[in-house]
Amino acid sequence: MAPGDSTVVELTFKTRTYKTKLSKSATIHSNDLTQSQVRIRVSAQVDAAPDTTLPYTHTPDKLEFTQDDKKSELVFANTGDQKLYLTQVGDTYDGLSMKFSDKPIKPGKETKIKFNWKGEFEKENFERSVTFVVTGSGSTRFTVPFVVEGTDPTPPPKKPVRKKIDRKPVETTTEEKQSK
Amino acid sequence: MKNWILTVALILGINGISYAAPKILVPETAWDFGHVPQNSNLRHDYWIKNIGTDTLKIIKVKPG
Repeated sequence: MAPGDSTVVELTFKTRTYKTKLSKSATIHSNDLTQSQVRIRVSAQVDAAPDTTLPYTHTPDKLEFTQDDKKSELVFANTGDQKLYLTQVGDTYDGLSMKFSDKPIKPGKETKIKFNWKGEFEKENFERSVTFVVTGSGSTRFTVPFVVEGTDPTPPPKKPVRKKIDRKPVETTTEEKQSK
Repeated sequence: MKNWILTVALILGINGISYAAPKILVPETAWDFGHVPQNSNLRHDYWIKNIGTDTLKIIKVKPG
């Protein structure tokens, strides 16, 4: 990477069926002699069900865009007793547009976040997410994963695993060696 | 005396030379997704910039 250049390292995180606070990290090793290692970290609170201690709810918790349905909507409801403010943070995507009011959401009220996928539909599924910060009653954040359905999302069949055959060299007798 | 001053000047001059070196900058090293649902694949991009004066090589990225 030439001086002034930039690149991106992507850290992936599978939430599976965890029900806890999780964090994963990775270390970037480089030829920078003053700082040869840089540690990067991601964390998340994986919820099996909506966390009822939060002053809000949002439905759905995941979004999907297909060629037939490129639009999606998320309803954010203020279930607390204070005004809440919603801000989108982190990665943004060229293909994804989202619209929501920047006005505070009053207690008992809800707002809609409208998503529209305007990007390409690749052969394989495109999985990313958008993160929102909720302020007004402390500060919490939530992430909404989304999938842009691929035109051919079927993964290619796995190659059969070849069994390694441990072949030992055939030992030849002295007589055989001599006859060769 | 002149030689002595010249010698000192040369030493200082040599020490003053800054050698080209790469310098890594990762502006953001931690990301919190907050509350997330189960069975999701999440990704986050970390930008790496070379703010040095020589080529920066990313040798490896090791999980854990």
